[in-house]
Amino acid sequence: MKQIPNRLKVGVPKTLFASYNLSYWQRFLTLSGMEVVFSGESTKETADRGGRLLPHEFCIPIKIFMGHILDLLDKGVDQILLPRMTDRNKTNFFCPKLIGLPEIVKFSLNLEEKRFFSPEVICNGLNPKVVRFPVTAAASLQQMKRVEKQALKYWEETLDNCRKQQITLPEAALKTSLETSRETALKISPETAGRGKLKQPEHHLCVGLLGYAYSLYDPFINKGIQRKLDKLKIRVYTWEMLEPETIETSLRGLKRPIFWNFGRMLLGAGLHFLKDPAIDGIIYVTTFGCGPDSVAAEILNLEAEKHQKPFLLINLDEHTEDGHLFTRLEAFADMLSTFKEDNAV
Amino acid sequence: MKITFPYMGPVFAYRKLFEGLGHEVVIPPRPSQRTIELGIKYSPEFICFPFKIILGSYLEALEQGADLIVTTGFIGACRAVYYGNLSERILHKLGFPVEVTVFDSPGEDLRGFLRNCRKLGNHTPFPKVVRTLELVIRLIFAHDYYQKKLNHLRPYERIPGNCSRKWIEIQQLLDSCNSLKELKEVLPEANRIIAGIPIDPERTILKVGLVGEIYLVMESFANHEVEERLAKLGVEVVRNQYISNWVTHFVLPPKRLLRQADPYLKHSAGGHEKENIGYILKYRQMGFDGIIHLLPFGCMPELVTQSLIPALSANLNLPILSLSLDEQLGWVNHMIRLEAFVELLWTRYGQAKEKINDGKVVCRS
Repeated sequence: MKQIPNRLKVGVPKTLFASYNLSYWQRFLTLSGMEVVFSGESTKETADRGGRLLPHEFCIPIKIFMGHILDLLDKGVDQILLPRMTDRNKTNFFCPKLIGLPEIVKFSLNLEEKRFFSPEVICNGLNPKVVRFPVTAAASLQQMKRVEKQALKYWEETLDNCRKQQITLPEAALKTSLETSRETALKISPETAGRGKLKQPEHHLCVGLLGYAYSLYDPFINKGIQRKLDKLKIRVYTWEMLEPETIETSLRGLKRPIFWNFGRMLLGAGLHFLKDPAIDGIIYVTTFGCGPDSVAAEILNLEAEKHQKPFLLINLDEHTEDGHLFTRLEAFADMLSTFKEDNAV
Repeated sequence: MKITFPYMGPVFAYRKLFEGLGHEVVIPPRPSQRTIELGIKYSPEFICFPFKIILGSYLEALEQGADLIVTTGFIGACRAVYYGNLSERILHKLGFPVEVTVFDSPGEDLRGFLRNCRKLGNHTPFPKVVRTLELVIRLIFAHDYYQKKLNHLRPYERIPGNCSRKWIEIQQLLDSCNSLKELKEVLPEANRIIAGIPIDPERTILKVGLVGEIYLVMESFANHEVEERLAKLGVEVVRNQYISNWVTHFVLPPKRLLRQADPYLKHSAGGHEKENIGYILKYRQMGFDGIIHLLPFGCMPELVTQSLIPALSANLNLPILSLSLDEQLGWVNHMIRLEAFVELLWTRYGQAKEKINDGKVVCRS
């Protein structure tokens, strides 16, 4: 691999928006002729360092995000990818903290505007779309427009893989990156992918696992929830395994749909799981202080009661102790088995 | 149908509106500790504090026999847009056969807006609707005008608590008028009441701007009478979050104010955060001594403002105190912070005076 010395080094924090469409951003930046630097994995230290910069009430994902930014600054990147998530789409919003993210980072770290690579982005929950490209010396506007389309195609392929093979996002990203050339290969460790291996063991229970990609697939926050579920022989289904039409259809029954686009996907998937007889129960993973989840999870909780489907809400924070989690999952699995046997008779 | 509504701002004016349209009205009682406890019990854990208060007051109104809740919705990134829907779900689960009518902005959902209007219109003749609406809007504006005036006078009052007592009198006066003619007769009376408050205009006071989440800023039971507490410390509190202001800004968005906030926050995050930043900048220009920023625990848009406050405070050389409030009824910790903040403001005030007087120490008082 030839290194061009004066390529623009752009840092990508591997959390929040990037944990959804990491491959999209990586493609987009590499093909625009920039060098992509990833932040390290989230650790206790990442969360602590980031948390110190923010008011204490902020949700853990944003605190971790700040930690990732600090990590990137330590690595000496020229610019940091920080998409400006706008609300031009009038029925699809980001969480206010994400809308204000560039300003939060800028003012809490006292950085100059030129340290950020900030394309304006809209998103329908699945596909990001850049509506305004930043001016950069690395690539022309035309080139970026062309490259963005390629990146989007690549991302859609990844999502397609998820649906076809019924695998989660990190697994699909790992798979796709193994297939592509080494130059653009994503460096995803097996730990990030959650399970470590793609082979599925025997399962006797099926559970809909809901949660934002940045908390569900971040090994620091999720505390290996997928591995734990595997151990309990529970097969997991997530929102990315569903067709977007399915999600939209199940949302149509609501009087007032959720407008936050990531939450919308989760709620839609959750409502579908409620009606799906193959799914035994739903586990909703949320993080402490998550605003959209306080609404989305409550709606789902009330709906689950109506549908008589077991629903477990797990609220995670920066505690690293995970014994209680396994106990709760185990109890939930026991309940599901009993429930299933009772219903089978 | 017995109508109720969220407890916010001049509730008697809303009662007049629905009574004018020929409905029976249940006014939710002023939120108390019981309201908050009821609200907490049935709300999701991490929902914002105003939702808990409002749900509690709905429950109290339902106990009194209300069966239709009228509230506003709108579409945005703030959780406030789901208040109506979420409370309806929770109340249904609790077994109340209540109906919740959510008014969205006519620009966003014209058909739904008209449908709601027709439903609540109750076949009232159009001229009467217009008359009622005019009375209600005038009442709201009068209510807010007198509240502003009393907030201005409060730190100067000679008899502590006088302004608050007079405020109750004025509210009763406004509540008593049922037509525009009566309102016109009542206004001079209210002015007389205010002119009759004994004040000490010589007093040196500090001026502090109150910004933040609209419900906490407006509702004195939610912010533990922060205005009165500060007035006792010799601080005049100025705020711009009133229902009348909200109505005005809804019809005519304050473009210039929002533009001033652009360097700090480019896109609106769904709440009043841009307006608040604009007001902080405006209060600075007006020479205020400090700013107090209130937010409910975990409020999403105001957390964005809160994270910008250290930078704002440094850039403007203006002390800003950000208080995050929740259902905790103990106020001592906040009171200590407020007192320390006011002390800081007095010190700054004294230092500024010294500068003007060529370094000579001037005794205050």
